[in-house]
Amino acid sequence: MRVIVADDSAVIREGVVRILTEGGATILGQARSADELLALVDDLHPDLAVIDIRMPPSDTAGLSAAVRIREEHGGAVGVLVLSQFLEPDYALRLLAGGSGGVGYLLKDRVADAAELLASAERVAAGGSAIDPSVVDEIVRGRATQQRLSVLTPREREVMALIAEGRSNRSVADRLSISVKTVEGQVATIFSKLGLEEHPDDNRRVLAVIAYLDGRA
Amino acid sequence: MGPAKVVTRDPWPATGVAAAFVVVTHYVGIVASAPLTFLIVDTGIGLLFVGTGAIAWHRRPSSRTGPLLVLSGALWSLGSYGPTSIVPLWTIGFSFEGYYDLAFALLALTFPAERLSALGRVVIWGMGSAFVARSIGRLLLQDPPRTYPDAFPPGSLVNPFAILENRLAFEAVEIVGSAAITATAIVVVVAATRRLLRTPSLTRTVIGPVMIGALVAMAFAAYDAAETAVTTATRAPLLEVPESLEAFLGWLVPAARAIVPISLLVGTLRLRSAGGPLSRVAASLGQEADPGDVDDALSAYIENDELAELLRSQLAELRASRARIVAAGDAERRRIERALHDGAQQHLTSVAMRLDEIRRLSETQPTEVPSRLAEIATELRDAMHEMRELARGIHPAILTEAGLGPAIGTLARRSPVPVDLRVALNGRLPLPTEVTAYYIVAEALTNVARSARASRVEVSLERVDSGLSIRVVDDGIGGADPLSGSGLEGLQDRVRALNGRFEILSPPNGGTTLAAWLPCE
Repeated sequence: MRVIVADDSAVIREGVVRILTEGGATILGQARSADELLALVDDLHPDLAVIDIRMPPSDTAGLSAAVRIREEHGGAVGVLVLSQFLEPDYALRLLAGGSGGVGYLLKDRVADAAELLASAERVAAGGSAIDPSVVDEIVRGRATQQRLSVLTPREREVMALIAEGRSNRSVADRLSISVKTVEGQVATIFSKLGLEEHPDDNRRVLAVIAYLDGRA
Repeated sequence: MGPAKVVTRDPWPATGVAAAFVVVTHYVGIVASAPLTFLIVDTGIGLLFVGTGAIAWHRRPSSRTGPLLVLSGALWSLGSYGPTSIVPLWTIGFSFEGYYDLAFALLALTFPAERLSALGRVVIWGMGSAFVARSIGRLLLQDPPRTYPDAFPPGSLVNPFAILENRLAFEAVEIVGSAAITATAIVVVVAATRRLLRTPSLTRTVIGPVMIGALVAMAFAAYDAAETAVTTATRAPLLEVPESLEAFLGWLVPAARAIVPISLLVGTLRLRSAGGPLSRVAASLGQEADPGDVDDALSAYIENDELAELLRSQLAELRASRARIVAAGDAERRRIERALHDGAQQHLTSVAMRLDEIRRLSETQPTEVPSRLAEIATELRDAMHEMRELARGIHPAILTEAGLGPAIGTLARRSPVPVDLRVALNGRLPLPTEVTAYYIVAEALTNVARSARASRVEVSLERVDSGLSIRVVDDGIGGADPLSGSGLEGLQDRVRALNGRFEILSPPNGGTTLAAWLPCE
């Protein structure tokens, strides 16, 4: 896994680099601003860019850079945005930005090395990783709760994990049930909510989150 | 109404004629051996009228005072034929004395440029009619040698115009006419006094002297006419003046009369020299002096007064709101300080203590360490969560970054009461507008959740005219005073600071509606 890490805070940058290196990743370069990041990505074509949302020159320059990388490099470069903002809007913007791996994690996650590494690998491989807190933020809204009342508690659990970007396999592991069971439940959930099933993980996450947020 | 409109702008021809008339009249009087002191004083007063009138006319051409004073001087001299012994000038003087008082009555009621009131018209017409009636009586109804054979032996003074000589009719007209003059003069005195007392202090410097002058003139008019009426009716003077006072009064009365033209002149000249709002009135007087314009100017002045009052109250409100904004800022800083102390600092202190504990444990019970470290990780996550919420409460980044629409979307999502959101913004708005709108909606939704017992709340944001209209409508119990003890009070100041509007309707059982408008300039 060839990675570029972008964060204007040296402490966080070093921490992320250490976790990823220990996990076997190759760090191609480090950037301290959105412009540096974009230049590095254009030069080095990494598998993954881990990007702090807040970098010079603006509050969310990292997010804009991430969206741009997704638009310009398609699925070739995964983007994992680390954010201090619990804003589903931002996650949705990232998801909508193109195909390929995408992640939106709260900065808190850097404290959990295993989780961060797993998310990074998933995104680098073209999957999705949406912070559970973000999913929770969407799901706990009263309007969403009402829409989800058609689901059983277990189905809701499965749905939240799908929204985090987990594969059926990962959901099965998490809930200690078989992949087959998960597949069945996913089919039930999608038909109950009137959603179209997507073979592509990203599209699936986008559809679920957009639905939860009342936009689909 | 308005002799000012018909008089010429150039005072000198009329003044010259009037002055010549005064001089000639009195010269005739001197030739006809009228008492010298009387003629000197009388001539002086007549010339004073004409002179002050000329100055007033020249300096304030649009004011009526000048022409009226000049005219008064001429009319005054006309009366001076009275004591002469030339026929028929004597009759003319006697018949037409006192008309100048009509000019003063007009001034007293209209200076500087007011329209005559209905009562004023009655008074002027009444006084004028009384003078005319008395003139007709004196001209046509009496001939001293015939009317009063006891007092005037035949051949002494003859009225060649007395074609209808009749003592009874003459005395009746004399008494009724004089009484009417007295009555109308008293009405003018009362009216002028009321105007004097009601004039605001600023204009009193202008109105005051004119009213005093007119008052003196009217007092004389009332007394003179009353004396005529009483003497005619009873053959006795109105007041018995002791001989010792007669010489004194002989000077006092002319001196008092002299006050009239001088004070009229002073007031008229002050028309333009007074500063402040009055100079506007005066400026308009200095031009076309259409009574309508002057009315407008005067009402503008009064309006000015009201505006000044409004301004004062707004200034007081502004000071109060500034104080509240400062206090709100302080309170907010205290809240953040408390949140940092109670939240992040507590967590960090706890983490430091636990780490110290783990350092000791690592020597004695190393197996315990991993679980203790996991606890610390949890504690730190809690701290980060609190910091994130605190930061969002201070200023949500999404507001500056993505704008009002997405920021309100976040608020709606977090509201425990379901929100119907209608946002029609069409692009970004000025940041102060967005921030204030955000906090209004945030605070309104907090209030709805806290106390409205609502099942739904509708939030709409819409661009209207050059502003942003905000409405938050819930279907709750209403009837609350949503301003008391909520953050909306502080927001009201914010809205005012932006020149916006803010309104809350909360009838009992009628839900609560918050409506605000913020400018987007």
